[in-house]
Amino acid sequence: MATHDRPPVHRRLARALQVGIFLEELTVVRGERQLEQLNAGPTAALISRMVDDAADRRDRLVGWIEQVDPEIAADQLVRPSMLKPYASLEGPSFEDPLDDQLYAGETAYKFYADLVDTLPALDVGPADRDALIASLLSLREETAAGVEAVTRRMGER
Amino acid sequence: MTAVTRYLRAIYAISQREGAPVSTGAIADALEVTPASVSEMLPKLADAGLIDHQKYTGVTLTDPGIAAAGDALETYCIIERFVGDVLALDDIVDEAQQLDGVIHRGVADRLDMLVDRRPECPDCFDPVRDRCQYLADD
Repeated sequence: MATHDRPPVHRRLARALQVGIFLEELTVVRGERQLEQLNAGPTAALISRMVDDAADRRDRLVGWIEQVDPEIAADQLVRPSMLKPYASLEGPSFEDPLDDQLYAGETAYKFYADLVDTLPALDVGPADRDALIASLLSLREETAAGVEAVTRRMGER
Repeated sequence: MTAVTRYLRAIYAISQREGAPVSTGAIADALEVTPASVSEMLPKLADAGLIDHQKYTGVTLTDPGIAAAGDALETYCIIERFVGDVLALDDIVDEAQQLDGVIHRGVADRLDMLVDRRPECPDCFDPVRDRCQYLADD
């Protein structure tokens, strides 16, 4: 793309959805690393479920980008190589896998809540706006349920 | 990005560079708008308690204005670096502007873990180029 070309108006939503994909993929990659270090038990089972749920949400966001902006979907979606440098479990924020999952879940919740609030001002391209809002609301509630599950597990320890 | 955010960011950056108060003309130059447009916006910012505007001396950010501008600049800088460093997109400013106002501080803080911001952020923001001065050119 030449620098003087403005991106198409629906690109704004597509880029926002791309951030969401990145957040969910990050949860998947980091969760998988955590599972390699955890013994079987309730915490591992919960993180395994969180990973599966994040992967499912990521796939749904990919589906929405394909509807909103097929041009991005063709060549600019999150690729695993993008995430390699960021999947390290080192650093004080990540010493506890549940803390990490809680932060990831809270961030995803904020992302979906912000996007639901902003969506009326965004161009959705050829996508079905009502269906997209319904999907984002569902994603938001699913992330809220995930956060509740993590905090519940934290209380049980 | 809202107009209020653009103005606050510009006033903040000019104040850091040249000191306060900031003239209406300097704001107009930074934002590439007419002085009349600036004169239209300044009373709104003053009414919101974000700036102190003296007619013949210029504009000074209030404490709430400084906090709001710094927060907006940091959020925007995180987005620019995410777009440039992580997503590796070409048109960093255009692409970051797409996300500005959609990605808010809470999410930006998570993205901040993935980017390499300078300790002096947000004072390294260049309002003329609408980007961090340390970001590599396109």
